[in-house]
Amino acid sequence: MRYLLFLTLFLKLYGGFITPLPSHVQVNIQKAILGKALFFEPMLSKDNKISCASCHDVYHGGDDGKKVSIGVNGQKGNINTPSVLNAVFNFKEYWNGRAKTLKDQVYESIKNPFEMGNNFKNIVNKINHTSYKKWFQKVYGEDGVNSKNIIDAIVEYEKTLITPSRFDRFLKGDEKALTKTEKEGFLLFKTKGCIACHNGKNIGGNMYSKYGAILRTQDNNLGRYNVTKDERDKYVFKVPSLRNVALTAPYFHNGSISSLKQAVYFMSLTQTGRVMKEDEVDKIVSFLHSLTGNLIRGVK
Amino acid sequence: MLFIKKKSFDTITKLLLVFILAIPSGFMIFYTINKNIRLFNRQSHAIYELELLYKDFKYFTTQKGLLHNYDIINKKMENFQNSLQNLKLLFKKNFENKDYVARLDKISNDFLLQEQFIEHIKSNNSIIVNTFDYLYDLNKNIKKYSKIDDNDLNLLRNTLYLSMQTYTNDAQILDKVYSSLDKIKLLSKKDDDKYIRFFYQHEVLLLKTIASMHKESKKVDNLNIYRQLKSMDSDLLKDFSDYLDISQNLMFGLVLFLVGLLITILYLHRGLIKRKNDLNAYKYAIENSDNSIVITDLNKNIIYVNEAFEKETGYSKEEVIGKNPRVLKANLLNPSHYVSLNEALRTFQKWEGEFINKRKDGSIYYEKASISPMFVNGKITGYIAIKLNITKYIEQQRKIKFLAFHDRLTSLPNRHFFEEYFNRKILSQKQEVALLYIDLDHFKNINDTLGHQAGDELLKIFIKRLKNRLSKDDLIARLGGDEFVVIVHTSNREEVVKVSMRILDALKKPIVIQSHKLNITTSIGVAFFPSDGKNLEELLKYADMAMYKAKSQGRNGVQLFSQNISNEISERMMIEQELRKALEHEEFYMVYQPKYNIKTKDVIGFEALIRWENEKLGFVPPDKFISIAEETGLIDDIGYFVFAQACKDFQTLKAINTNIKHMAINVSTVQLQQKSFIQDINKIIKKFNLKSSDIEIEMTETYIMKNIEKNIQTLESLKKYGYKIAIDDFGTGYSSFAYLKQLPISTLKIDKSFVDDICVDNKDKQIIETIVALAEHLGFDTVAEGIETREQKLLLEKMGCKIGQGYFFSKPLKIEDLVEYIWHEEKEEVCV
Repeated sequence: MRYLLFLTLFLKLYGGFITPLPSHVQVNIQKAILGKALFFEPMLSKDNKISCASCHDVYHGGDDGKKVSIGVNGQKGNINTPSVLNAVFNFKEYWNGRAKTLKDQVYESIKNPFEMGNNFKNIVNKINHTSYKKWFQKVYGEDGVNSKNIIDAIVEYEKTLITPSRFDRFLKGDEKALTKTEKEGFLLFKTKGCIACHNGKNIGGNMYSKYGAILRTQDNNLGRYNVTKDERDKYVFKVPSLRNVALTAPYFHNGSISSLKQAVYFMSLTQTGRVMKEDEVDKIVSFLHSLTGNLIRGVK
Repeated sequence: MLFIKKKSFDTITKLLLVFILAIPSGFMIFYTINKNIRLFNRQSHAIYELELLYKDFKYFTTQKGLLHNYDIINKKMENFQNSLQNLKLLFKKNFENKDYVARLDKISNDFLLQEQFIEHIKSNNSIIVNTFDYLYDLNKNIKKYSKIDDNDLNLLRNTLYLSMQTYTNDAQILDKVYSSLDKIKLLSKKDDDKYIRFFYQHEVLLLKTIASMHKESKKVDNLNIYRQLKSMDSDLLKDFSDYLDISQNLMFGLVLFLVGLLITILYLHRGLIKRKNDLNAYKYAIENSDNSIVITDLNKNIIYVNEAFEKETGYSKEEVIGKNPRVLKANLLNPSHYVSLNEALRTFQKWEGEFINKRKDGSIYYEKASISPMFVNGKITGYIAIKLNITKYIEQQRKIKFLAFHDRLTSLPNRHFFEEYFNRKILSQKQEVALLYIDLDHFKNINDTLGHQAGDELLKIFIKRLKNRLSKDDLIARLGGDEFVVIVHTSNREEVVKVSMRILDALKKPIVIQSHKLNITTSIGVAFFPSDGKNLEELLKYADMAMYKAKSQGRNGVQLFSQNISNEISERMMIEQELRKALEHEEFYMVYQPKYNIKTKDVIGFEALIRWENEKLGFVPPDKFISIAEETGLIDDIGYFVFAQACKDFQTLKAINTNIKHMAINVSTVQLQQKSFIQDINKIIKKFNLKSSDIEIEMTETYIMKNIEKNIQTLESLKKYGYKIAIDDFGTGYSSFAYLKQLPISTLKIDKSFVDDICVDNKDKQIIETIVALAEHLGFDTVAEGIETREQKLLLEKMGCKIGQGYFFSKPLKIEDLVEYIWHEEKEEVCV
C-alpha cells in the first residue's frame, strides 16, 4: 500500500504545472510598431523578397504551414518553421535550442543563407535610403539605423505576439471556458505523461527531449547534437509549445505528420511509450484546440 | 610692515587651503567607502543569491521522479546567469586587483556544464515521470488489458517499487531490480504481451536513465560551484574587512590630520593675532617714537618714515617715500664716512654712527643713527634706520669743550687750551715764539676795594684793549686771576719789546669803572722758545720770573728773561722755601742796636733787628728775606715773633737800666694792614708788663707813602694807644711834606746813606740839616742811622741831631751781649 499512497500524492502534485499567459505585456510601443514594420519588411532579406512574416504568419499560428521553410531565392530549409507566437516564453529558440534569446534568433535568421541570407551592413545601407531612417531616428534618436536597433525593434514587436486562449481563462478559474470533452482531454493530458514534457507557460518550450524517447523512430536530424556534439544529445530537440498547435500543422521538426490526431497518437507511442485508445486521443486533440488563442490587443 | 604680515598670512592661507581641500577629499573618501560598502553589499548579496539558486539546482537534481514546471528552473538558471554577469560587472568596479572576475568566469564556464546537466535532468526527469506514470497506470489497469497472473503482477509491482528505490544507487537493490527485470523480459517474451514488453522497456529506460543521472550528478558535484561561491563569499568578506580596516585607518588618519591642521591653523591664527597686536604695538611705538625711523627697501629707497622723521626733517612722508635717504645729506661729512656705512650695509651688518643732515629748509642738524638690515624669515628685506637728533648734544659738547678750553669771563683760551696749543702748534713744530707773561699790577687791591665785579669788568676792558693792540696771529690766554700770556710769533727781541710797549700803552688811558678812574699798570715778563725754555713748563717759569723781575723793578715795565734773573729768582725761591720752616726751627734770633743821645752818649733805647741763621743758606740778611716774607704773608708770624721777643728782651734790659726809654721795632705795612695788629701788640705789651710808650714802631718811608690814606688811619690808632711811631730810612722815599705834617709820628730816622757821606758830600750834609730842621719844626725827634766815625758823630751833633745809632756806638748785639754791655756801661763810664 505504501507505493499506492506515494502515487496518490504524486498525482496530487500535478496541479499548477501549466500557468496562464499574461493578458497584456509591457513593451515600448514606438519600438514595437517599428519592429512590426520591419517584421513585414522584405528589404531585410538578401533578395528583398522574404520578410520575417514570410515564414511566420502571425495571424495563423505563427508559422508557414509548410513542411520546411522557404528561404531566399526559393531555397528550401531543412526544418519545419516553429511558431513565432509566444516564442518570447520559450527557454531557447530554434528546434535545437541554439539561440538563447529572441535577439539571437532574429540575428541568425537574417544572416542564415537558407533563411534571409543577408548581412546587416547591407540592411543598414538599404534602410538608410528609405523613410525608415527618420523613423529610426525618431525612435532611437541619434543612433538611428543599426543592427542592434533593428533587432531590438523586431524583438520588441515579437514580445507582443502572445495569444491567450480559452484554456488560459480556464486556468484562471473559469470552469466554463472549456467544454466537458476538453476538460477530459486535459485530464488525460495530465495523466498520460504529456504534461511531463509539455508544461509551463507555453505548455512546452522549456526543455529538451529526445525524439522517440521511449520508442526509437527513424530520423536523419541529429537535433541538439549539432550544437553540443554530446552523444547524449543525439536526436534531442526542444519540446515545442502546444499553443496554437491546431494551426501549426505539419508537425514536428521534420513536418512529417500533418494531422493533429496522428501527431498525438505518434507522440503517445514514441515519447510516452504507451498505446492510447482512439477516444482518449480525440479528447486530447479536443483539449489541444482550446489552446488556440488570439493575439493580445495593442499591436496588430 | 606689510611684507611681514603677508608672509605669515600666507602660511595660514596655505593651511586653510589644505584644510578646505582636505574636507572634500575627506568627503570623497567617505563617499568612496560608502559606495564600496554598498557595492560590497550588492556583491555579497549577489553571491548569496547565487548560492541560494545553486542550492535550488542541487535540490532540483535530487528531486527525481517529480513532475516540474520547468519554467521555474529555467527562470532560476536565467537568474543565475544574469546574477553571474551582474556580479562580474560589480567586481569590475572594486577589488579589480583580486581574481574575482576570473573566478566568476570559471564559475560561468562550470555552470555551462551544470546547465547541460540540468537540461539532461529535465529530459530524463520527464522520462522518469512519464515512466512512473505509465507503470502506475499499467499496474492499475493491466488486468484489463492482459491475462497476467497475480504472481507476475506482483513481480511487476515489486520491480516498480524497487525501481523507485534505485535513486539511492544501492547496489543490492540494483541487483534485485536487474534480476526481476530478467524475469520480466522472459515473461514478456513468453507471453508476447505488448504491455509487459512496454513495462520492460520502460523499466530498462528508467534504470538506464537513473544510472546515467547518477553518473552525471557526480561529475557535476566535482565542479564544486557551490564551494567556489562559498570561498568567494568568505574571501570577499575578508577582503572587504581588510578594506574597511584600511578605510577606517584612513578616515581616522584624515580626521586626525584635519584636527591637527585645524589646531595648527587656530594656533597660527592666534599667533597671528598676537603678532598683529604686537605689530600694532611696535607700529605705534615706531610711529610715536621720538627717534626718526626710516625703513628702506633693498635698493635703499625709502618705504616708511615716522612722524618724528617728518617733524625732524620738514619733509612729509609723500615727499620722501621712494627716494634715497641721501636727500638729507648736507655734504658736510667726509665721503669716507659713508664708505664704512655702505660697506656695513653691503655685508648686512649693523652700522652705528653720526650724520650731519640738512632739513628741507636747509638748516643743518646732527643725528646719531643706527642702521640695521631687516631680516624677515632669514631673508633681508630692507634696512631700518633709527636716528636721534643730537644737535643740542653736539652743541653742548662744543660749549663744554669751549668752556674747557676757554675762560668764562673773558672767553679767552684758558691754561688748558694754551698748553694744548703750545704743545701741538709750537713745541712739535719747533716754531720760534716769544711768550709774554702779563700780570696786572696791584689787581688784588682793586678786587679788595671795588669788589670782584669791578675786577672782572676791568679785566674785560683790559683784554679788549689788549686784543686791539695785538696781531691776529698772536695768541692770548688767561692763565688765571690777572695773569695772561701772549704768544708772539717772533724771536726778535726788539719786536717783542715793541709789542710789549704797545701792551703797556694800552693801559695808559685810565679805565673807568663804577665812576672810578683807575690807573692800571701791568708787568710783562718775556721768555723765548726755544732759546730760553725747551718746554712750556720752563718757558712759563722763566717768563713768570721775568715778569716777577719786572714787578720788582717797579712795575709797569717789561723784562726779558736772562740767566741772572733766573738765578735771582731761584735764590728767592730757596729763601722762601726755607723761610716757611724758619720760625718752627727757631732759626730767627733778635739783635738790638742801641740808640744814644749823641751829646751825652747815654743809651736811650734800642732798635730790634731780626737775624736769620739758616742751615742751608747760612746767614741771610733781612733785606733779602723780609720782602719775601711780606709777599708770602709770613711776615705776620715773623712780625709777631719779633714783637714778642723784642718786648720780652726789653723787659729784661729795662730791669737792668731804668734809663732806657724805648724799644724800636720794625713793622711792615703788611702787618699794619692786619686788622688784629693793634690788639695783638696790645696783648704782647700787657704780657710783658710794658707801656705802649715803651714801644716805638718803625716803618719805612716808602711803605707809608705807598698807601698813605689807609696807613694814616692805622698810625692814628697806634698813636691813640700811645705807641710812638718812627719813619725809617727817611729821605729815600718820596715823602710829601703835606703828608708828613699829618702823620702821627714822633721820630724821623735819617737814612744811613745820607750819614755815610756826610763828611764828604755837601749835598747830603744839607739834606740832613734840612731834615733835622724840619723835624725840629714839626716837633719830631731825629735819629741818625749808621754813624760809624767820630767825624760823623761830631758833625751830626753840631747839626742838632739828637739821637744816633751805628757802629761808632755799638753794633747790634744779642741780648746776652747786650746785658753785659749795659752792665759795663752802668759800671764804668765808657768814653769813645
